[in-house]
Amino acid sequence: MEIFLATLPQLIVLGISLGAIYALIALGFVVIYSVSNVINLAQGEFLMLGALIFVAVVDLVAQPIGAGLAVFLGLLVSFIATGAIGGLAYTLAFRPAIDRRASVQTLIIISMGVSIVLRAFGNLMWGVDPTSTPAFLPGRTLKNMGLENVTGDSLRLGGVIVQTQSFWIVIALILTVLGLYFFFNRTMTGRALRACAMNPDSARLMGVPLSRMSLIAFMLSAGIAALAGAIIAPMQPVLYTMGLGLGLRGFVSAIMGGIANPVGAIWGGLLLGIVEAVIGGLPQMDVPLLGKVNPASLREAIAFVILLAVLVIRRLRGASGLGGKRFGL
Amino acid sequence: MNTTKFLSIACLLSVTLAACAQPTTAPAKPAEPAKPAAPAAGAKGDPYVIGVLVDLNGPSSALGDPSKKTVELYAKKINDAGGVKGPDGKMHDIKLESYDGESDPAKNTVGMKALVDKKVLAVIGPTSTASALAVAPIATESKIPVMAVAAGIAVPSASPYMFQTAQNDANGAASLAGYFKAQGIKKIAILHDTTAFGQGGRDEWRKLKDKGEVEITYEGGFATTDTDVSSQISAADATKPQGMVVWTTVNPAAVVVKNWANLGAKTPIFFSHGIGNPTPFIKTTGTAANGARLPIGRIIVVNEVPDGHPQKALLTQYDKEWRAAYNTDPSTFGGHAYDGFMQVVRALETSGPDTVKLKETLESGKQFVGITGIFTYVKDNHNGLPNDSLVLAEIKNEKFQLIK
Amino acid sequence: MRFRSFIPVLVVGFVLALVPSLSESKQLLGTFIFAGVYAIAVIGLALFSGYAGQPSMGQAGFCAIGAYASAIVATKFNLSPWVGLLAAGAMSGLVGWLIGSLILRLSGHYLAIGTLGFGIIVAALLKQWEWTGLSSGMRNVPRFEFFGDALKSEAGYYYLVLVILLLVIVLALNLVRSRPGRALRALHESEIGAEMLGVDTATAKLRVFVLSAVLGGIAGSLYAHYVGSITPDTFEFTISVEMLVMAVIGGVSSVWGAALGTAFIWGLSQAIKALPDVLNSIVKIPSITQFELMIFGTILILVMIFMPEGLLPTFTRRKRSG
Repeated sequence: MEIFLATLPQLIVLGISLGAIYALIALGFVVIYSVSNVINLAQGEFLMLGALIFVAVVDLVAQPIGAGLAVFLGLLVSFIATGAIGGLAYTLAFRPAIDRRASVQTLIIISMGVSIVLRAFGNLMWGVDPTSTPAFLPGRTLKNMGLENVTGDSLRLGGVIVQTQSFWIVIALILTVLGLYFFFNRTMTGRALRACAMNPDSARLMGVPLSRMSLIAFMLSAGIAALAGAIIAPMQPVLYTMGLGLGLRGFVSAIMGGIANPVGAIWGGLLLGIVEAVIGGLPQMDVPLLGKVNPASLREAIAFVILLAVLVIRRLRGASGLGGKRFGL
Repeated sequence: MNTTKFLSIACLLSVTLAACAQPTTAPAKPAEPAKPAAPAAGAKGDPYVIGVLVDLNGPSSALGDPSKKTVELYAKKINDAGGVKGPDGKMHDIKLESYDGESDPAKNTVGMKALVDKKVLAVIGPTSTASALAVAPIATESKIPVMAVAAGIAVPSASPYMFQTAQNDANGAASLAGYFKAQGIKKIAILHDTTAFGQGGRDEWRKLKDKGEVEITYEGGFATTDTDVSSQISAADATKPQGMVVWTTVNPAAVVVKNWANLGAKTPIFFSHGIGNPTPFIKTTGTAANGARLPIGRIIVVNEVPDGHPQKALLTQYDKEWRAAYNTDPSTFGGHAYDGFMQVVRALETSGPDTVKLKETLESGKQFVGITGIFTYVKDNHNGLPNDSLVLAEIKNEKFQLIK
Repeated sequence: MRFRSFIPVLVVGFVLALVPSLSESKQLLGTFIFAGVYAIAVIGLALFSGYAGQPSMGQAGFCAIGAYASAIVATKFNLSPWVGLLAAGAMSGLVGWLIGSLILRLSGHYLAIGTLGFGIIVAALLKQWEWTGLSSGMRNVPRFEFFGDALKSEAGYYYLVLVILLLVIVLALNLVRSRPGRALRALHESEIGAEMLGVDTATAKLRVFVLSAVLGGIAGSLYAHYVGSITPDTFEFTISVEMLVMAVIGGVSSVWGAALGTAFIWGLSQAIKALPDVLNSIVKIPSITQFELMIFGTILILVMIFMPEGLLPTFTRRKRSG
């Protein structure tokens, strides 16, 4: 237990880094759901494609143009290409169904179909083996810059170690939130999107083209997922199956936060990340029926028990989700 | 209204039925149009049909894909050379029937039945232990030998017709434990994934602990879908072991080793033999994995295997032929499939198209020098691999090097 | 229940009973057996999802409980597999009641997360249970005994699954057309409306959730005794999602739709795999193994676009209007 307490600050820092990724993925769910009422289970597959495209671009251009520029170009290409795939998915698969007034459940199944197709596509294009890229800011570069407290690709700050990639994740999350805020509050298109989110019927009456708004939402969400995928590409094995686990965590975070609530989604993601990280560091415990079990082995289960407990308790107290406000950034 | 409901169901079912139903006898027509002149070995017999039941999608696809590619490569090679000479003196082509099990035991079960329908003489696969156990009763019932590439300890005893061509947890742990003894490493931390493979490894180390060979300072699990294992590594590192043993397969191992490097963990890291395809592992981990040590099949360090070693010639040949065909580095997973397929081919020369005789020939105790190791299948041992089929390697400068 | 509604059950049963004599293909019979086993669980899911209007993403969790209960009874206590089947239903029903009393307080998407979490928790706990073989699971689960070895053959097992499936269909249809069934449908339309009509929605919801769990458990038991080995991974959350797909594609508000959807998904996936064999007798085509899932996903999307209410409602409506 002393060991656990000693590592606790480290675990929380890890959790925030993990949680920021989940929050970024969750934002994609929120944007699509708010505008078009679709729970898009293919969000994890957008992330997977974003990561694979990013790695492909970096592998291709890192030699000729240098690592720093390659990362920038990779992020750009990945954002645009995956956004286009998202738009394509909307136009080919979702829009025809929405036009036929498909139910929420039918649209979920369509998103399942889309994720099966995209996963098969990832397998065909990039094969079954994992790949990855170097960190955006490798430890080697930091050392050359004269920094002392570097281990691997991380910085030693006080008692805790922080991966340099974690800073990028947090920066990406902040930029995404600012970008969404600006987009939804300061641009015409964004305001129209918000109008759709708040009241689709009156938005339609006022002449907002709902299907074009949905198209933009899908492209934007796919782009955000691609961004998340690209940024974690240096930390994760990148391959066609990676979307499943990450998509699930983003989905859970989004729903925890109230599915249409971006701020809630961020809280949901951070909560899930911190819970996961802290459970991973717990010492061995006696569990009835199972005997001596390391909580780390039951991480998913314990995380869900805590999340469900939070939801049920909040429900009993009359609230729902982590934040009450629907799409107010 | 009810009748219309029924009618539509009946229609759909009959469509499904028509689509599923296949001729229950394998077509006897030659499979390929252009064939190089066969050696003058007499008339051509009916092709020998071999099933390939591997996972090409889902979590075990990294193992299934090279398995299928290897079998296809060598079936083509054999056919180009005229086929297999059966006990009837005729030459027989190899005809492959493939089925993607999609990493699902239920789909593998149906796949095994589909292959039985196609009258296969033997099956290469399944890829995962759960699927191997699921198809075992069908193997027993239909008397068709199954050459599983799965690593679970329970696999070889699951059916009299089940053979295993991969090293299991016991092989791997014994190999690493021998190295620890030589190096004076006694206090270790165990990190394992929560699959059958990871838990099997942990149990082997618990046995070694009970024998007094090692002390375990920390034991922790993680799911193969976990995005970060830093928490467990921090906890393990804090118990100050002499070595951190990580029992898992390629993708989670890449996560672990990156977390390990980024945390600047003090403890040296050791992996299981589950990392059978080093190229993607190195591509994924970059410099992070430098210093990691692990037991591994010889195919990975083929250039360092001494010339006198009985496997050397075969390893070099497989390495060359795989590279020529697929332009990537070979993996141990492809090697497992090679061993299963070539043992079946060799046995077919004696047994012909009789699956019971084929099984008896396979377990007749005749040595087989393979990629994975030197196999000797007998009736009570369908794993047939000695512990020395694994060697110790260290990752240095992003390369796997033999520890001499 | 009027006699008329029995007729389709009898006719479907009669037609399906002919299957083993029509073809010797083991793949075909195996596909039908799995489809039948899945259909039982999917009907359970559809009763809850469809009639109560609440999605369930954790049905495989109940299948797991049923399968393990059954396997424990048969292999650890050496009791008859029939006892195992009963234990499977009872155990999953009991767990369903406990879990339901907790998570049914949630509504809408939160309930979806609740059921999803339940499925994941079950699989994760089973992976840590030493007594049932951790992640390696349990094996050597025997087949049912009935007149000697009658149920040990493939055809015998097929008939067992068929009979249970038909019984489940009759039971489910009965429930749907009964007073509580109508109350459940009211629940789907409007929970507040149902409350105002004097329906105790909480109890009604819990009851159908328990029934759905029991059916999942029975399906799990039939799976375990058929395949002979089970692992926690066999009942992963992806299987739960697959079952939801089956329920929705068939037409989520109907018992027949659930059965049809299950048959469609299993039939489609096997038909795609058999496609090259059929085509190759006409023209030579290259292997499509790599494209199987892509074709599968595309057909899934197309069906949902052109039949957004699912297969069965679309068929019956077209018949009626045409």
